[in-house]
Order: sequence, then structure tokens, then C-alpha cells
Amino acid sequence: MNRAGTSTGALSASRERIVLEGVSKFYGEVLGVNRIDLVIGPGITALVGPNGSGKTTMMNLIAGLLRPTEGKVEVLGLAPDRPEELFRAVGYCTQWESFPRGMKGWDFVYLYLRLHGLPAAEAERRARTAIERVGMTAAAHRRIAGYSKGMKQRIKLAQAIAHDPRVLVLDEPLNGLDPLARAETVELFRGFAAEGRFVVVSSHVLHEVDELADRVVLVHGGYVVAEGEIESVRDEISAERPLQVLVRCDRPSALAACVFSEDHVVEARLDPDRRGLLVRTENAERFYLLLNRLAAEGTVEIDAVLPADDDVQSVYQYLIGAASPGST
Amino acid sequence: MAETSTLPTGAALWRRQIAAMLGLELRKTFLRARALPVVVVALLPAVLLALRALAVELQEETPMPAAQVATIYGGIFQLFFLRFVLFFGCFGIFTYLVRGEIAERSLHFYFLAPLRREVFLVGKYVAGCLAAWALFTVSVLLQLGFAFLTGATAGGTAYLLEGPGAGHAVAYLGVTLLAVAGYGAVFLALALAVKNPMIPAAAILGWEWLNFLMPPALKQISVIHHLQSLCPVPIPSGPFALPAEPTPAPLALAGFFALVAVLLALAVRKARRLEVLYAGD
Repeated sequence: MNRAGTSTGALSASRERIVLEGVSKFYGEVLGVNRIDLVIGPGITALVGPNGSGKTTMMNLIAGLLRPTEGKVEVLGLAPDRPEELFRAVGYCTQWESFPRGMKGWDFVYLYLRLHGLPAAEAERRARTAIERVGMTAAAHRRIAGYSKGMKQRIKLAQAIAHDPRVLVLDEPLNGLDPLARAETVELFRGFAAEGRFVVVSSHVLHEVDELADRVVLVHGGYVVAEGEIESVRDEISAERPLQVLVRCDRPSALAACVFSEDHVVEARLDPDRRGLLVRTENAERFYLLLNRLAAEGTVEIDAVLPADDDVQSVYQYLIGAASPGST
Repeated sequence: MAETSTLPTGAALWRRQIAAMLGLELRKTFLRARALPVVVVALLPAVLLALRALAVELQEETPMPAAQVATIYGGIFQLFFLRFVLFFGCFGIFTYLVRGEIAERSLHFYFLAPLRREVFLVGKYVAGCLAAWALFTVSVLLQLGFAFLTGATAGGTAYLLEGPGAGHAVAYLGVTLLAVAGYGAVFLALALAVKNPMIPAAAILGWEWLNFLMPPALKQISVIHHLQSLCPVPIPSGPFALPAEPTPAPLALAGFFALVAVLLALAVRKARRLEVLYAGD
């Protein structure tokens, strides 16, 4: 499958990109990721895949916490094995829930800034700002061990943004957050992206990604199986897997009779409320032309045409869930 | 971004980063229950010498002459304190510096900072040395106090404060500082090289104990060989020892620092390639 936006020869322009070129990572005999070619630009990019698919490995490779077995990673032209340069530009909110023992939320952010070499006063100012941005001011001087999952998530986020990085790498950052904190956090990411920064976020909760990301990278079994804007990814795969469309209309049975004669339609099913028809087609363009013609002829009066699977969940199922129960 | 006009560069930045590490590391070393066994081991010789002094006083035994105590203490220092107490104390402190972070899944706290791995390693090493120096110098001072400044030793006060004992005390403290630096480097490098440093540490303990049996060239690859040349009271090596000229102090020091430098260089090399891989991930 072609990968939208992929350019393996773009290393020369990598100063404004995150580039993974032919990257593989094996843990002994176990595959982490394999032959990843990926170029990530500014904005919000979501790595989507089930647990164990290789998302965290990719993020750890980007952050230099892992070294590729093969291939090359560059972040804004910086090599991840030079943390002294990389982490001036990168903030990473990891998935690990562990913290140095006995540490308080404030110390976690403040000491991190001191490790950057910032003087005490500036580290304090930045720590205060970051903690405030994630809504943790009241709990900052409590021990992290007593925090809830959501609070731990937020203090990690504060650490990741405290030094005002250009690249924010976030591994399942919305895990454990309550709806309000979730909405605020999503806004925070959007704010970062709007400033032209890079936000790389992973998730296996796919509806989150739909709301959040500009681009998706679908990962499965250590491979990138598709990438790009969600619609373009869907277009890419439509030739291989049928598109599913729900047509809300006044006479779904009549519509069903018309579409059955078309060779590109593989399935048509009446919606349970009998006010719509769910159609699976191998050729979206021809199907939409047909619909236009039928509407123009007055065969049916169409209320709405809804792509029934144009979300990440459906794309994801198309791509990797063919063998799993319930896959389309 | 964190690059501001207030951000130093080069060595000044590294000093500031190491200072930031030290605060956290020293707290982690001392203010935790895990530190207790190391403290107990470190103070064990002092406790034994205190018990000996107490027993002599309670049973009204004749106090031992200071010169004789000095010889016995030389043996205790070299055979028990250096080869056992300090060895295991440093094992506990220095292997924990990195392996402890991995076991507690907190290594990434440092590895997500713009910290050169060399600076990370030096910060860890210095923190370990400061903690161990504090602990073991206190132990040596207590040992000397209980050995010479109690009623169990005749003329001990004069020996320690006015006689040759003062110079010996300084030498023992100096050797303790060096031993911490030496074994610290050994165990830091070991902790980076292997996942479970227990078995290699046991092998190193054997190597250090059997050092007196080795030919002169192999003796150089040993912390204890360099240190015993600096100890003020020599102890007999036993009938099976391979004869070797005692190393002059400047040579012993040079050899010692060369050994530490090689070990730290190996540790840096390992640290630069260290990945954050926690058990269970």
C-alpha cells in the first residue's frame, strides 16, 4: 500500500521534520517495529494501534530511549542519541506510571528543569506555569505516590511541556483523565499545533484520535500499515476494501433495487429504522454518481448521505481487523 | 524552549546539572529504608570495637598497649573493613545508582532531560562517592575512637592524638576515600555491564581476597593491591603469597587512578548505549 506523505528521501529537509528511515527495532528475537519509513510534520499526528502494535517503541525511538536495530531517526535534524540537544526541543510524556520514589509533583517538574541547567528562579517560574497549565497547582506539593491516575498523567504532561518544547511526544496522554481535564488537554495540544509545533500522540482509543489528530499513522504488528489524513487513508484503501455509506432517504427499498444492479455494489442492507439504506461499494465515485442520477430522476428523495465508516475505527478495522470477529 | 540567556554552556552547564542530580541522589541514598542495611554494614566494625572496649572495662581486663592495638587494627582495617565492609557497602550504594533506577522504572526521569550520558554517569558517581564517603569516614572515625580512646587501650589517647596514630588515622581516612572511589567505579561499571551484578561481584570479591597469590602484573588489576600499599600498618600476606616489592605510594596512587579512569570510561561507554527497557514492558 502506498503511504500518503511518506518521503524516504527527505532527510535533507529533516530539520523541520521528524524522520524515521528504514527503522527496525528488535528486542532480541521479538519484533518491536520493522522497516518504518515515516516523515512527520508539524501539527498533531496520531499513532494508532492496539496494545503491543509498536506505538510506544516508535515513540521511544524518536525520544532516543531506544536505539534502532537498523535505520535512522532524526528529530528536527537532531540525532536521538544526543539527548543534550534533543531534549531542548522535545518533551516526552511517557506511558510509564513510575516516578523517582518519594517525589512530589512540584519536584518532578522543578528538578527536571534544573536538569536542563536552568537557574533556580527561572526553573521555579517555568514549573509554576506548567503545573498551572495542567491544573495541578493545588496538588503540586503532595507526593506523587498519592496521586490518582489522572493526576499522574497531568503532572507528566506538565513535565513534558515545562521547557516549552517544539516537539511534544505523548504516549496515551488522555488515559485516566476525566472529561473536563480531557477537553482541556486536547485544547492544550491544539494550541501547541496551532503554533506550528509537532505533537505526536499515541492512542488505542480511536474516537479520541478522530477528534484530535490532523494525521493518523496506523500501526499494527510493528508495521505502519497506513498514514495520512483520515479521509485520504480511507481513499487509499477503498480499492481493496468496500466503502460503507448510509443513505437516508424516503424510499430505501427502491434505492436498494436500483443499486443491486450495479456491479460495484457488494452489499445493500435496509437500516433497522427503515429510513435508510446501508450500502457497501467498491467504487465510491460511481456510487455517488448513481445517487445523483437517482435523485435527479426523482426515484428517491435523499435526506443525507453519511459515510458510515469514515472514522479511524473503521479504517483500522478494514486494515488490520479482517480476520477478527466483527470486522467489516 | 529552554535555551535562554541564563543558560550556561559546557562545563558550567554540566556542573549545574550535576548539582541538580546530587540533591536528588543524596536524598534517595540516605532517606530511605533501603539504605539501612548499608548503614548497618558500614558501622559494624565500630560496633564490634565498641563491644570489645565495653567487655574489657566490664571484666576489668588489663588494657592492651596502643602499639599492639595499632597492629591489630591494621588487620581489622585491611582484612575486615576494606575487603568486606567497604566492599559490600559500595556494592549496595553504587550498583543501586543505575540498577535501582531500572528496577523502580524511574531511569527515564534522567534520560528525558538534556543531559549528556557522561554527565549523568559522573553525577551518579559523585553522588555515590559523597554518600559513601560520609558513611565510611564516620565509620572509620568511630572505629579509631573505640579502638584507641577507651579504657581498653593503654596509652591510646596519646598514641592517636600526639603519637604516630594521628598520621595513621589520616592515612586510614585517605585510604577509605580512595577505596570508595575505586570500588565505586568497579560497581558502577559492573551495574551497567550486567543485569544482575551479584555473581560478578562475588567473583570480584574472590579476586580481591586472592590478590596476594597473584603475579605482580595481575595484582595491578585490583583495587586492594593499590590501597594496601598506602595503608600505614602492613599486615602479613601469609606463606602462600607471591613475593613482590611493595609499590611506592606515588606509583600506587597513579595505578589506582588509572584503574578508576579505565573503569569509568567503560561505564560511560555502556551508559551511552543504555536503553530504557523495563521488565514487564
